[in-house]
Amino acid sequence: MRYRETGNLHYTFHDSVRFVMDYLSEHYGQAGLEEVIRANALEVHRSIKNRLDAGDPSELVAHWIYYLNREEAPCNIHIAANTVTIEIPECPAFRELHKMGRPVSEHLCLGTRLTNQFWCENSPFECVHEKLGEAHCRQTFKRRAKA
Amino acid sequence: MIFSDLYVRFYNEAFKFVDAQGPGELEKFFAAISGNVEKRMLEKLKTGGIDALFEHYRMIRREENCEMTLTRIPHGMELAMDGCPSLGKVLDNDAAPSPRYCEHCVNWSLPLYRKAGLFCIYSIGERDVPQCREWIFDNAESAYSKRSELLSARVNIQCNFE
Repeated sequence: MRYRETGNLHYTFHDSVRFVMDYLSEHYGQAGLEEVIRANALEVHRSIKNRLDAGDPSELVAHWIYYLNREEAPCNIHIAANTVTIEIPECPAFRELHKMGRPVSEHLCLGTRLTNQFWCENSPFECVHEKLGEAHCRQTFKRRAKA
Repeated sequence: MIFSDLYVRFYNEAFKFVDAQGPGELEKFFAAISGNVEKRMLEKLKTGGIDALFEHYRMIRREENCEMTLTRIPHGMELAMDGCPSLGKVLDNDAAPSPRYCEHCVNWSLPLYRKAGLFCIYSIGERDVPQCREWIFDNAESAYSKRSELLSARVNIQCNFE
């Protein structure tokens, strides 16, 4: 895994993410926000992308498990031959923003959905993102059927 | 969601994008960031002054895993950042760092401290070295005196006072 952060966590960054996403959307439209999310997915996290392109979801799975664990976010992860399902009953970003009394934003979920989408683009995988509650989602990565 | 551990690399991408939108865009973004931090901190600083700021940075040092020395000095405090985890992560990155990354810190803190009645002197140093220095005072005379000393030593500084 390319980035394996350790030490303490600064949860206030969830408010910073929320603020930056809202600012980008308000000043540069959905296209501006998407451009930054795309750069983050494809340039910052290019090793996840490269492995997915090669048909290997191991770094993607390691990324989700490692950072959900760091954020003490319960999750259900199911790995099968051609499918990886990650269900997050309480998103840590929403949890922390509620604790801080700061506003939440739908852009947080959009960030997750688009990041997965950009990672899967032109790869052997596709991702379905289901929002099951305000802070509850399920992401299913599925190997595309061969044409 | 962007995980808190991974936020600053996203922040760096946002700075590169906003800077590319035209002159003055990044400055507006920095001002807006300062406004957002203000919502969490201004009242605390207005009522608690240097003591509150010192406690804030003790919390930041712990939560953000900074290599930082905090020292109380007469009428103020000194912050010596010897290992900034924020710039450190941006440099340890498969994407390119924004050459203006460090400016966000100066630009959110100087206006906020001014509103809180605090006098701040900031020295960033090299943009690709995760180190900087700050001196913050609750007394104008002490701030003027420190500024003179730093200018005499030819230290590159920015201040939130005339």
